[in-house]
Amino acid sequence: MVRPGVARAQGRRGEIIAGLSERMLTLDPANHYSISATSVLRHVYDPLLDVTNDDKFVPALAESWRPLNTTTWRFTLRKGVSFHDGSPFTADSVVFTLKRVRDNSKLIKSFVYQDIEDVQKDGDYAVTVTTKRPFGSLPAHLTMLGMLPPSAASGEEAFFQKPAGTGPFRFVSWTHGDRVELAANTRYWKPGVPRVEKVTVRFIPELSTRAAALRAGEIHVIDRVWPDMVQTLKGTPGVKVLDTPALEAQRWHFQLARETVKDPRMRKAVSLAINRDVIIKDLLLGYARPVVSPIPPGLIGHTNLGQKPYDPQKARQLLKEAGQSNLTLDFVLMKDLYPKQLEIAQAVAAMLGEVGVKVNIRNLEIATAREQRTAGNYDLFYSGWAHMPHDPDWYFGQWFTKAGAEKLTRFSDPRVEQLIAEGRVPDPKVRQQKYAEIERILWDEEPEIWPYYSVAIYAISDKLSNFEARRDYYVLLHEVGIA
Amino acid sequence: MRSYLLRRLGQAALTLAGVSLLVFVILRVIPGDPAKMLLPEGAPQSAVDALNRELGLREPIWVQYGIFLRSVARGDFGQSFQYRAPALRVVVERAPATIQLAFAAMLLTVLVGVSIGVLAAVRRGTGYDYAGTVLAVLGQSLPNFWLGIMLILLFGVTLRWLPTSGFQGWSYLVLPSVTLAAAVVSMNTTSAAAIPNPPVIPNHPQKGSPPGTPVPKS
Repeated sequence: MVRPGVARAQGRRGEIIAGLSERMLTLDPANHYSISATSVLRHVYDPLLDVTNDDKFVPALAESWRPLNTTTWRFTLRKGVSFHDGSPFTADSVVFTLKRVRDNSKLIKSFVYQDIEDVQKDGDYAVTVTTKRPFGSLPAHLTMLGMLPPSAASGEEAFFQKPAGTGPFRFVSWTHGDRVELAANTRYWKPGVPRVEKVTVRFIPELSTRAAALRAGEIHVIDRVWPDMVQTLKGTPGVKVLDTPALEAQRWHFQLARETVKDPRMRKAVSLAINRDVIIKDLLLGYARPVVSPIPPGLIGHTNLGQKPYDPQKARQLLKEAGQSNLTLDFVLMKDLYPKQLEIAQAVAAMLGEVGVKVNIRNLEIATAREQRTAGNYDLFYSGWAHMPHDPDWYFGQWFTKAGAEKLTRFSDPRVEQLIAEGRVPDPKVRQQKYAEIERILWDEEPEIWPYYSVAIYAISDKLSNFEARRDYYVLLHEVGIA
Repeated sequence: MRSYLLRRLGQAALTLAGVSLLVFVILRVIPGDPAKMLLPEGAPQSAVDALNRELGLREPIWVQYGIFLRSVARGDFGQSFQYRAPALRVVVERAPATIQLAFAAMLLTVLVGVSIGVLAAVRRGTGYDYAGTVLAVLGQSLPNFWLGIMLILLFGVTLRWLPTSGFQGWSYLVLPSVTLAAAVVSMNTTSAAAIPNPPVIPNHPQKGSPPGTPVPKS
């Protein structure tokens, strides 16, 4: 067997520079809910498990895990791993990381882990987590939580100035708002990883600037490309464009307490009047996929319920039946959040106009839009949901329980509420069944319009090898090489 | 003299108080719940409330104003909600780049603007003058966000003479300062060109002065 150090030294060379759209705000994996930060921090920290691009949960720092009962999870840990500061990774690290996020309520992720009752180590390489109620989505959440060394406890602020994880790259520096610099971890536990010596992540929020940097050869990969930038990028020599259906469903949710849309016939009529094909083909240039269930394919619970039909005739009929004429709907948008959202909203307004419904588009600053939503001042709200983590429990719990939806959509359905609670158990077969049932109900009731699944578009330099266009918007460079 | 000083000091204090109140009110009135903006969309209301309490935003408004004033007195700029870091640090981090860019842009403005202006004035009515005018008008009309992107595309992407973004040396300052200077150059040009022609005595140039010496109008 070739000694790992030798094999790696032979393989590793070069520097990759990535241009990401979202600035990092923290180096603490427990203190953010940003897809982009999760992606960057994944290079420095390892979580207990990872999720692959084909939706499988695979071992990282945990070699295996299983539920002992509905409220207990057991994790068996990988041996022979050390942190960048040389200290060994053991069960103490897991206990510390989990208890810290649960107990420090200032941490952004804290509220998710409140269901953890206790974390006990069982020797140095096994941990048992007991929960107050079934927590089937715990493994999914753990893919986003990098493990910290217990030494961080003695001085967190100092620790996060130069954090040590077990990840494929060591942290070198962070210039706030500008870039993060990482260097290869030469003693990483996975052979052949990483494949480059250095990674620099630059933050370039403006898409045309980001694309210009790639086209000028200054950087090697960019994320969050919008459909109208694709032609330009494809036409640039040395640049490749990659796309994949994302784990994200656009959702326009109704304000269910409003007289205008309370009646399910109304909502059905709106749904029938919208030509989703036109939106996908003409406005998004094909960079979207038709929806067949509220949960995108790849997540537990996804089931095929067929596409929603486009039938303006039936829409008019339903509106007449419901006795609604001269209807005006307030359609609230969060400014510049989603590609082509204004054009799409305008198209929808035209489509609804054809069946006699007037649409009032309100394109507001994000903060204002959210306030209006809390206050209930909308009929339809333009939003999306990128599943983070890779589990629909959060989506259902937030939007389809009475407590969760109270200041949002005002949704309330006891059957759905019951199914959500039942879907929390660890057994995937049970979860699949419960979630599929929830989706059938939602598909029928139409509390939301799901116009399309998004497509994630990346552009890379052709010098890169083995880059994977991920469905969860992560840009992961551990196994990417550069010519 | 003393009453004058006291009066001015009093006015200054009043102005400062007014400004502090205005700043405070504007910050509170801007829509948006900081906790809601920091937490992900799906966070429960209890988490939002908890974070708001942490940020001190649940106190009565006059208590918040008091805290605000005390922080001002101590030079404590507080925490930036958006960057989740001490606000002073956020400002200080951006200061070097801002200062260098502003300086470079101003230098360009003065050098280029005044040169074109003087040239246009001295060669009034010639091609230089008209060119100067055209440049001035262009500079003022072209929106700088458009100009910036065009310069990036031309000099960064197509020609690859200059970097497209970032700040790692003097070459990174060129495109941004040209973009910033464009609008202001026009003003310097115009004012430099507006210096009236050196007034000339209708008939008798000063004896002994070299030809072309400006002569005061009588």
